[in-house]
Amino acid sequence: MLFIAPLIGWAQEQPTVTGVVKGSDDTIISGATVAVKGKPISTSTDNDGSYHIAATPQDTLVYSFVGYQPQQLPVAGRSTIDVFLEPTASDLEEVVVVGYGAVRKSDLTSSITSVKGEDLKDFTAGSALNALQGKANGVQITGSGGPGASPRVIIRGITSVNGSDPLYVVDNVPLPPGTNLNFLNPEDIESMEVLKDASAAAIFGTRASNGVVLITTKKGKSGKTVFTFSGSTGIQTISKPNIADASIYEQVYKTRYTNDDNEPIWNAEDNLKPGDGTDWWKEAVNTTAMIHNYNVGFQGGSEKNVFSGNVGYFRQNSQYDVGYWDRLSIRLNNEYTLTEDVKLGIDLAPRYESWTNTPDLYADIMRMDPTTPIFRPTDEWETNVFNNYARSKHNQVWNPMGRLARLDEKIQHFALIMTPHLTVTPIQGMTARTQFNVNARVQNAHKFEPEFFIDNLEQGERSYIERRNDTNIDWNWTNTLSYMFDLDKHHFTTMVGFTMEKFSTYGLLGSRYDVPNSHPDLRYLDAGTDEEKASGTDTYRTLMSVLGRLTYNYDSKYYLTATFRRDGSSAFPAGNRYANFPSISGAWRVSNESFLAGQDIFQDIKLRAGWGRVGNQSVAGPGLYINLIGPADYVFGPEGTRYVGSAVSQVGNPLLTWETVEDVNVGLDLAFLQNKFTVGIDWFRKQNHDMLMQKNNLLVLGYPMWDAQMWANIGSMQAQGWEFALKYSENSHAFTYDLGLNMTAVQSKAMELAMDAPILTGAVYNDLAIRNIPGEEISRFFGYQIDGVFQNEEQVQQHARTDGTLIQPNAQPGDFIFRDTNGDGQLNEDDKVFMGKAFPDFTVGFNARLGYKNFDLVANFYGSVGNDIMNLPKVGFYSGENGQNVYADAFDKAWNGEGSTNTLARLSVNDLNNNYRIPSTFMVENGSFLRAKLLQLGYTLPSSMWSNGQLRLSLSAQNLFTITNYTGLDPEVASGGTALESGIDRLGYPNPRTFLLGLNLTF
Amino acid sequence: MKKIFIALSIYAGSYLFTSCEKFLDRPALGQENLDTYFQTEEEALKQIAGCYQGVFWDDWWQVAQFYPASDMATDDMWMNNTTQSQSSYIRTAHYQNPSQDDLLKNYWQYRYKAILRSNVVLERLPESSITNEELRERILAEARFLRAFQYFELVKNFGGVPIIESLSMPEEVQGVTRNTLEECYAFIEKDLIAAAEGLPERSKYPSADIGRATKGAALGYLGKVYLYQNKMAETEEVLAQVISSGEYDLLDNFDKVWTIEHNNSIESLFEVQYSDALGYNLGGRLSVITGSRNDSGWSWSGPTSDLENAFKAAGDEIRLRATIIKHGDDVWNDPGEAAKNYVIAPAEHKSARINRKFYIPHAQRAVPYDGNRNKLNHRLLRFADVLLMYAEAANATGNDGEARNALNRVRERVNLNPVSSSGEALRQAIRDERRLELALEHQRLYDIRRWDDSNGKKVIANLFGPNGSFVRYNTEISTDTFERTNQRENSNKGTSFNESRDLLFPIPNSEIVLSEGSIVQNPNF
Repeated sequence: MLFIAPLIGWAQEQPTVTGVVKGSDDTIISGATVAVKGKPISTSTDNDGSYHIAATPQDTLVYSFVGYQPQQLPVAGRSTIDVFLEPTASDLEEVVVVGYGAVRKSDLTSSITSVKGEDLKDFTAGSALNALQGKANGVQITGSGGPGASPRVIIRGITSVNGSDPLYVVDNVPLPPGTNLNFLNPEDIESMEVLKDASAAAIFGTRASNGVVLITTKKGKSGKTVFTFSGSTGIQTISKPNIADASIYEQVYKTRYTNDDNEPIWNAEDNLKPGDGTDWWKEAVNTTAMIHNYNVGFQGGSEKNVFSGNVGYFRQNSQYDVGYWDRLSIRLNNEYTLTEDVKLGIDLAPRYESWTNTPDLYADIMRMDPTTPIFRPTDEWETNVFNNYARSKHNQVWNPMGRLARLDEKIQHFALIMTPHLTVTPIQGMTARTQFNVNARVQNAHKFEPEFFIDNLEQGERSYIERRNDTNIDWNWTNTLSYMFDLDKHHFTTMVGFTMEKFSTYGLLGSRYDVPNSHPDLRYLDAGTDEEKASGTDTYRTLMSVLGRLTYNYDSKYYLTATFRRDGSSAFPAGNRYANFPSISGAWRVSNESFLAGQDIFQDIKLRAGWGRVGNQSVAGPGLYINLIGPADYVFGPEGTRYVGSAVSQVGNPLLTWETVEDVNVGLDLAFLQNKFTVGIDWFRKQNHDMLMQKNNLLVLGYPMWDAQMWANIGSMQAQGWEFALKYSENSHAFTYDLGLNMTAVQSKAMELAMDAPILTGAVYNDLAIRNIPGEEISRFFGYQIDGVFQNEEQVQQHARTDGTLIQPNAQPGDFIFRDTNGDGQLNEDDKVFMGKAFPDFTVGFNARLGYKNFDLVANFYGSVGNDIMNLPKVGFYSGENGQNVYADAFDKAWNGEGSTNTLARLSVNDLNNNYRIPSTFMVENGSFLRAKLLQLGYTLPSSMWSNGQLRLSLSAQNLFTITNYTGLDPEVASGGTALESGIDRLGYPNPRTFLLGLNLTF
Repeated sequence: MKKIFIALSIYAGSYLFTSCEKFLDRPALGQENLDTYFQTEEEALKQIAGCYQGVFWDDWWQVAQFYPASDMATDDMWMNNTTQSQSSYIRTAHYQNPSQDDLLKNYWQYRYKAILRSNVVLERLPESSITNEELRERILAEARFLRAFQYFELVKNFGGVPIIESLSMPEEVQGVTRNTLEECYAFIEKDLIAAAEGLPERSKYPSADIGRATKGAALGYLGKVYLYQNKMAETEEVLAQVISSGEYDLLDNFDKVWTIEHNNSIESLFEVQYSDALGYNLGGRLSVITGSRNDSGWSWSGPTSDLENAFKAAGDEIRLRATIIKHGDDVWNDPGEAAKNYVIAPAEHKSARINRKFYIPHAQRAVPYDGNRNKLNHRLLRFADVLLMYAEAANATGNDGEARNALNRVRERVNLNPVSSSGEALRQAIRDERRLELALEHQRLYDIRRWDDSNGKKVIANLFGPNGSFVRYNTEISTDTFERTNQRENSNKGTSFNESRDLLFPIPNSEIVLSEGSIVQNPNF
C-alpha cells in the first residue's frame, strides 16, 4: 500500500520546481535559462525572475544567463530553489570574431580590439565609425560633420599613398573598396572587431594592408522573443564664428587702401553702423537642425529556428535649408536547424537611402560682403527668380543665398544584401559552412543647374540637366571547413577555405542643356533641347582565393597561430596575378607558469608576438597593364568635316603587381585585481614595399598621360608606434563603473618615393607648403619663419645683407619680418623652416560608464595631441584680401603704428611684402584638441513602475565642448586629408553640437 | 548526409580548377586594346587621323600657344597683354631663361606624344592583316611625313634631341642621350624622302581627303630642312620640283590668303584642318588668343611698330593692312559694323595693334567665339614661302636669275615693283621680302637665328642684346606713342639676349632632372 501510493502519485502529476533567479547582487535576472540536465526540458525566468519547471527529485537543474557563470544544482527533493548567479569573472571569456571564425579573447595571439554593439549605440550618428572613435586603440578616426559624411579611418598609421581605408567585412563578406559604412544601421551590429596587425589581417590577404574592421550583425538566440524599441531625436547646432559686421568691414576695407596711399573703391554707403548690412551667417545657416534615429527590433527563437530583425529609420539634416541624408533599413537574420547536423539560414537586408548633397558654403558665407543685401531692389526683379539675388558689391564671392536656392541635386539609393548560408557538422568537432552573398545596389542621381544671370562673372549661361544611374552587383561565395580536436592538453583548430568574388558596376550618364525654364516639372532630361550626351560602361573586378588557418595551444599556456592566403586578382596582368600572404603569431601565458603559481596579484599575463604579410591591390581601374586606344578626331575634306580618329590613350605596365605590407607586432596583456583591471600594450612596425604610384617618366617616351605617367610599383612607406589600453570595471556594489583609456602613438614615414625626390603638395597661393621627404614623416609643413613685425623704417633697413642690400626690399613698417635662415641675403626656398606636422604625436580616448541605482552616465572623450594645422582661411580673415569679409577683431588687432602689435601685420591692399601670400609660421597653429564626444545621462524606470520590461530615458549631448587652442571652426575636420596632404583647413563642415532625447524600451 | 556533403565538396573543387584563369581576366570595357588593333583598313585610317591631330592638338595650351610665343621672341611681336600676369611668356619673349616654364614643357611633351602616335602606326601597320597595298603604303608615308614634321619642329627649337622610333618602356630609355643636330636632320631627311615617294600629288587625292599630306608638302618641308642646314644646292633642286609640278600657285589677291573661304587653296601646301561641328573641339583658337581684349580676345602677341615701319619703308600698303590692325582703324576686309573704329585699348595692349591674319570677321565667327570651333585653318606651309626659299637658295648658289624670278612673283602679287639687284643686295631684298610676306606666321625667329649678317654675327644677335638695333630703336628712337606710353611691358625687350645661349630654347628643366643628367641642357642655361 505504502509502496504503491507514491508510485501512483508520481505517475499522475508532474512534480515542478519553482524559484527565483537573481544575480549575486540581488538583482532580478529575467530571461535566464533553466534547464533539466540531460532532458529536453527548459524554460526561462519571467520578468520578476521566477520560473517553474517540471523536474523530478533526481534531476539536476542547470541555470545560465549571458554574463554570469552557469550553475548546476541537483533538485534533491526540493520544490523551491532560489538561485544566485555569479557574474562572469572577466571579459577574457568573451568571444572575439576573427576572420572566418571566432576565438576566445583569452586565446588571442594577435592584436585585435573588440567593441560590443551596445557600446556603439550610445552615440547617435549615421555611421558606426563615428561611434567607434576613441573606443579602440590604434584607430584614428577623423570625422566631418555633414549629413552622410564618412569619416577618415586610419589604423596604425598610413603605409600607402593609395588610401588608408581599412577593409570592411560584414558577416565574413569583404565589402568593395570605397564603401561608405553609413549604409549599416549601428543597431544591427552585434560586435565590431578591429584587426590591427598582419597576423590577424593576413587571412584577408590582398586587401588588408590598411587593417580590417570586422562587423558581425545580430543573430537570433533561442528563448523568449525580446522586442526592443529605441528612439532618439535631437537638434544640432554650430557655433557662429566671430565675423565682422558691415561697419568693421568698412573700416578694414578702406584702411587697406589708405595704408597704401590709394583711394578706396567703395561701392556702398559710408559710415555704416553696427547692425547695418546683412548677417549672412544668420540668413543662411539655421541655428538648429534636426536629427532622428528610430529602431524597432526583435530577437528570439526556439531550438528549431532563431531569428533577429530590425527596422530602422535615420535622418540627419544639415544646418542649411538644403542638404540632408536619410536611411530606411530593414534586417532579418534567420537560421533554421534542419537536423541536428545541418543548419540553413538566410540574412536579408533591404534598404533605401536618399540625400541631397550638403553644399560646401561655410567659406563663402564667412567671406561674403556684409554690405550687400540678399536681393536686388524689388523694382529690378525679373521673372527668373534666380536673377533677383544681389551681386557682391566689393568682392567676387557668389551670393550664398542664391547658391542655396539654385541647388538641386537629389540622389536615391536602393539596396539589398542577401546571404543564404548552410552549416553542416558531419562529425564531432568538424564544421563545414558555405555562404553566398549578394550585395546589389542601384543609385539614381539627379542634378539640375538653372540658367541665371546676376552678373557677367556670376551667371549660368545655360541650364543643364543630368541623370546618373549606377548599378552595382557584387557577389561572394565563401566556403570554409574547420576541424577542432584535442590530444590530451594539446588543442588544435584547423580551418581551410575557398572564396570567389565578383564586383560589377554598370554605369550610365545622360545629360542635356537648355530646358525652357526652371519650373520643377521641366527638370528632366526630356525637357532639354540641346547637346544631348550619353556615356557609360561596365566594370568588373574579380578575386579568387584559398585560405587556411592552424591554431594550436598547449594547456592554454603556449599558443601558436599560423594563417595563409593565396589570392588571384583581375587587377593585374596574367603572370602577376597571384600572391601569397602568410602570417604567424604566438603567445605565452606567463601567468600559468609554475614559477608564478600561487601569486594573487595578476590573474593574467600574456605575451604576444606576430609577423605577417598583407597586400593592397587598389589601383585606379581595371586593365592598367593594357595599352588602350581612345578617340582622337581630326578634320578632312573641302567643307571641314569631322573625321573619326583614334590613338593610344594609355600605355600599360605589364609588370604591375601588388603592394605588399609586412608587419611585426609585439604585445603584452595583463589582468589584475581579480580581473577588474586589464592593461594591454602593443608595439608595431608596418612596412610597405612596391607601393603603387603614378610615376613621371621621361617625356621623350611620349606616353599619353600627363607627365608621361604610368602606374608602377615604386616607393615604400613605414608606420611605427605603440598602443596602450587600460580598462577598469567594478560591478559588485551599488555604484558600478566601467572605465577605459586608449592611447596610440604612430609615426608614418615615406621611405622611398617616385624619383627619390620629395613630393610637394599643399598649394598656398603660388607656393607649396607641404614637403613629403623620403625618410621623414609625411605631411610636414615648411614655410618662412616670421620674427615679428617691422615697427619702423629703421628696422626695415637693418634687415639687410652685410653689403646693405635689403632682404625685404618691398617691406614697410607694419609688415612681417621674414627670417633669412641661411643668411645669404635672399628670401627663397632655402630659407623655409620646418613649421609643424599634420599627424599627431598620439591620440587618446577615454570612455566611462557609471551606474548608480537606476541612473547611468556614459561619457566618451577623444583627443589628439601634437598635430598642427595650416589655418589657411585665417589669412584671408585678417588680411581681407580680394575684398572678403574678416574676423570682427581684424581691425583692432592689425598693426597701426609703432608699438601697436608685433603679431599681426598692417592692412594693405597691394601686400607687396607678401605678408599673406607665402606659407609662413603665421598660418600654422597647434591643432591638439580634447573633445567631449558624448555625455549621456540615463534613467531606467524601476521594475516597480514598469514590470513588463525595461524602459530607459536618456538625455545626451554630443560634441558638447572642445578644449583646444585652435582658432578655426573645427580642429578635427581641419586635420583631415590624404597621406601626402593633410592638415590644411579648407573650411569643411564642422562637427555640430547635438542635444538628444532618447527612449529605449525592451519587452 | 555525408554523401551529399562529399558530393558538394567535389563539385566545388572541380569548379575551382576549371574556371580559374578566365574568371580573373577582366579587361577595361568600352575601350579598344592596342595589341589587337590594326585588323581592318578602317582602324588604320583612324590611327593615322589621330597622328594628324598631333600636328596642332585640340586646344591652345599644348602646342598652339607656343607659336605666337616664338614670334614674341622676335622683332615682329610684343607679348602685348598688359592686364594679366605675363609669367607664362615673359621669360621666352624677354630672354630670361624659360627652362622652368610650362610653355616649353608642354611643347616638348606634346610633340613627343605625337611622335609616339606615328611610331605606333609605323611599327604596327606593316604587321597587320590589311591587304590593300596601295592604301597601306600611303598611310605609312603619311606617318613618316608627320613624324618628320614633329622632329623638325623639335630640332629647330631645341637643337639635337633624343630620337625615339618605337613605343618603349621606361627601362629602355634609361640613360638616353640627345642625338647630334646632324643625326637628327639625317633622320628627318630620310623620313621626308620616303614620304615624298609614297605620297600622291595633291590633285590625285579624292576631294574627301583634302588636308592630308601630299608629295608637294613632303618636298616643301624637305626643302626647308635643307635650307635650315644651308644645303643650298639640295634646297634649290627639291623646291624646283615643287614649283614645276604645276600643283601650286599664288592666289591672285593677298587678302584671300588667310580667309575661311580660301582654306586649302591653290597656294596651300599644308594646313591644320579645322571644323565648327557642334559638340566637338575640332576648331581653332589662335584667333581668340591673339585677338583684342576689347573684342573677346586674350591679347597675347601683338605686332611691333618696328614691323609696321618695315612695311611702310617698302611701300607695302597691301600687306600692311592685311597683317596689322591698329587701334582706331577700320579693320581691313571686314564689312561688319563691329569692325569700324576698332578698339585695341592702348592701356591694355602694349602696341595697341593685333594680328590681322588670324582675325576672323564677326559674321564668320563660331558661337561662342571663345571656344575651339573656329574654322580658319592654320596655314603651316604655303607657296609664297616655297618661292622665297627657292629664291634664297638660288641666290646662294649663284643662280640670281632664277632667284629674281621667284622673288618678283611674290612681289607682283602685292603690286610691288620687281627687284633687279643681285648678289648680297639681292640676298637682303629676299630677306626683307620674307619678313613682310610671312610676317607673324612663325617663320621670323628661325630666319633671324640662321641668317648671317654682314658683320659675321647672326642677324638675331645684331637685333637683340643691350646694343641690339631693335632694342635701341624701342628705347631711344621710336616715336610710336602707344609703345612708349604703355610700359607695363618693358620696351627694352631683348636687352638680356645672350648670343652664346639664346640661339636655341632650353630643354625643359624637368626632363633634364628626370633623366638624371643623361640629357644635357643647351649651353649656358
